[in-house]
Amino acid sequence: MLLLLLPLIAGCASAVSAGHNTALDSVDLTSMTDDMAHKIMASPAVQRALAQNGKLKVVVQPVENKMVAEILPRGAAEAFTGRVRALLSEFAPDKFTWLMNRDDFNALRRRERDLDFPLGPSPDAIQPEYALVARFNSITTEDPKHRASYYLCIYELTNIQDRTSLWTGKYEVKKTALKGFMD
Amino acid sequence: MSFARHQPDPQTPNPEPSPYVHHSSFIIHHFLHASVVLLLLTTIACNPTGRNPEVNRALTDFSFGQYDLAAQSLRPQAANTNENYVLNNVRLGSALLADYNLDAAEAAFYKAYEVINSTGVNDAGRSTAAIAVAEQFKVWKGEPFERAMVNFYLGLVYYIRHDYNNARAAFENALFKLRDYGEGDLKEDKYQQIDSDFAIAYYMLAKCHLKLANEDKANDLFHRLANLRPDLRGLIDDNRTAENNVLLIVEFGQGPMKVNLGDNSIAVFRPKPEEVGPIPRINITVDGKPLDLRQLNTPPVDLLALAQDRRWQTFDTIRLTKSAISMGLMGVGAYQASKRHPDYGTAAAFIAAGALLKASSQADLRYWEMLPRSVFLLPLRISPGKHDISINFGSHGFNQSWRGIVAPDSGEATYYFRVTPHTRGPYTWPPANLADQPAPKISQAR
Repeated sequence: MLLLLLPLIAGCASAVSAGHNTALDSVDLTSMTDDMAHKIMASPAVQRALAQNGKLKVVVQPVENKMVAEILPRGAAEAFTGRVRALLSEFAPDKFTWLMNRDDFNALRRRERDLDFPLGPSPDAIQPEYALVARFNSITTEDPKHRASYYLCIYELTNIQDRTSLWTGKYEVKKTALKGFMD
Repeated sequence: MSFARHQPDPQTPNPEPSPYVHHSSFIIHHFLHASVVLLLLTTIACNPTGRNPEVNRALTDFSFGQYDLAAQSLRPQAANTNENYVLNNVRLGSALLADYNLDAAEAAFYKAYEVINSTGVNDAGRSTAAIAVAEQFKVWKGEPFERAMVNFYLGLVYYIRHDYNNARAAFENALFKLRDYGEGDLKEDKYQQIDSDFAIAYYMLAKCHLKLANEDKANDLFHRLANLRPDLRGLIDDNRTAENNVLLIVEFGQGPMKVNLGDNSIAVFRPKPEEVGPIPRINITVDGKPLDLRQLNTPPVDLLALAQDRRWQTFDTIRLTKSAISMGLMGVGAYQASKRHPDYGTAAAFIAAGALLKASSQADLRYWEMLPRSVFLLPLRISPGKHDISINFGSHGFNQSWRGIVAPDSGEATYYFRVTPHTRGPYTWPPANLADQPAPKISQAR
């Protein structure tokens, strides 16, 4: 009996290794932001704006969480737009000038002494022309047997002056987690 | 000491062991094995509360308002991803929230939230061990009201920080966690009961929609809450909701405790509300003058009452079955030992097996010890400036006073106070962890 019990006890997974949930995860982050970066570069409207105005000055905002019963902490909200910026900075460095949004800039300026990189110009010094924003919506249902979430994540490159949309892209995914005896 | 004399003589044929000797060694051998297993089970079953000395120290510090010390003791516990990971993180979150360490409180509650929202956390090994050995092998995710409170506190942290979208999501999830367990064959009246039982999340959800300029949604929720809980109409009053510049979230009393009821296989939450009497009314003074709270001093939630509605009955059934079988085995063992020709070996085996099974039927007594009995929500309109605020609950010894509470010119400042007989103050705002945060805007200090 002891021999039977010991493997059971030793084989218990940690509290964070075995479960899965319906939240957006790193796989979604990668596939969503790859997709959005490609779509922005492939957009005829964006190409026209580049041809007319040269490099686009873009400020990046964290994701606006419109999801039902799904929390999106500040770090994740920044990652979902920040990675689009990082991809475009890497693959199209001559097309965009990226500006930090004012809140982030001010937050970093408060702890400037701790930073090991230059903070750069204040957002007030360079007037951004466009904002890269994202809004995540979801419909979530939960009952004793499962939790299901359908996500609609909308990205937008908006002209700050006239509030028109230069480009819009979307990413949809549905996730379901089935509950077991112990859930 | 020489072992030589114990060596068998190769010239001497092995004597045939007597049946008595063989039987005894068989019993002793298995009895030793059983004892080891029993010891193992007893070790687990003896700590069904998930509390070790560090956690006990943290709970004592917490009850005396030493929130930073409590958090210090709990941090290493909360980092361990064992079966108490969620429990230790909510314990840590409670201490950090009371200490106004909001970023760290968010992180702790969010870790718990992620596991609570996940399915399959208890893999096959854990599930089998929880059923066969001890329920404490299961990763603790809390009872429905405990899960709802994790989400409520997470929402509160976001609300205090004016992150209303995440606060809204957390309060919605708090209501999900209670509905979740009622939806098997949920009728509309049951749905209403759940929402009205957890009016604190309902009200805060409506407030979030108001802050997000979803006025129609907010008004729908306020209207629905007014119908569900007519006793809270004072809270929902249009003018008060629109005009308040200070929101006090005040916690009172000790929340439900999970204890054995008679047999060790039965766990219940105690005390029942009727055993400790009604929640006293709250009184507030601002700069020494009592506020007219009207219907605001009605407690919106009673966790002692919510805790009585336990849903994890399947496990109760397993434990009770194991307990009954174990009593039967021990009874058979006693019979074998007391009959005219006693068979002590068989008796010992039955009694040991029964004791093993009994030890494994110990109920899981883990619960969130830091929960209050009630949470009062007090939207107030106070003249802009700094004020001294005192909170008391009549003659119960529960009072607390604060100096320098800021009532802003516009917008809303939210304050969370945990009132106990050991945390009377006076305290000075802001607490140390908020000292470097920008203060709410006021035209002039008092």
